[in-house]
Amino acid sequence: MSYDTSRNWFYKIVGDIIHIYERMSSAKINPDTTGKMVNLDDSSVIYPSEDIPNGLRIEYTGLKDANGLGVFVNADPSSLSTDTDEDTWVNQILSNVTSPSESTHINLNSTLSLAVVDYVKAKSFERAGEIDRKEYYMREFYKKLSDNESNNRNVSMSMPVGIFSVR
Amino acid sequence: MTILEIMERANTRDTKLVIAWIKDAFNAIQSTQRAGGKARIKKANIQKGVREYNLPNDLISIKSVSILDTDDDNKYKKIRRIIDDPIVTEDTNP
Repeated sequence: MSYDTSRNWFYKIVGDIIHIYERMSSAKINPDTTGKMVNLDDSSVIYPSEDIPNGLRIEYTGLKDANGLGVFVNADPSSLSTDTDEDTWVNQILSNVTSPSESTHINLNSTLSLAVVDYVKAKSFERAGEIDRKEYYMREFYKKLSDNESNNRNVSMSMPVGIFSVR
Repeated sequence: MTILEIMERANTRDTKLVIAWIKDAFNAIQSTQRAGGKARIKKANIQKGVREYNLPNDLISIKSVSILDTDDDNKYKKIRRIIDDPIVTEDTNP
């Protein structure tokens, strides 16, 4: 029975292989150099010590998302298919497009779509030999990736102020 | 946003080339963990005494690795990554 797995298990990436290790801890009571009996932590690293069905879970980004959708989809993922009122709305039902055309949508939200525009501009300038403009648009690309993440995480923090704190 | 809208904004006309660049951009976005919000999840059986497990071939960037805690109501708990090879006391595979 696996227990406390967040503390006792570790992983390492070696190429396209993941190595899994388990820490086996056992306390032993042994005499120290003065003859006093002390608890010694006898932890050791071993291979997985048991079979665990579906025991390993890997969360990763790939060329497809959690719904199996790739780069190109049939509808705009940033829009609703039904938007009647506050409590009547339905998201788009997206499906993969394997042979994209000019009318195909990309499977990204609005901010990331604008980032892709910057990426295409950067590559276009690179192709034309204008490296300084390419660098500018690549910076814009990564800036929009950051903007996208910051918009998703609005966190407010409040800290108590001590009674005798002087500011 | 459609491919045509991207082409108009970027002032390009070569559709096939733009599609290739969009794929590259998607790859770059997914490899940036902070922007890659659309993660996939795959599971594998852990076998006693087996250290090595295959990663999914379509993997671009790992967000987390978890192990099932059967002692705590079958919850997946994230585990830590190590860089160096640990000294394994029961090493069966050099």
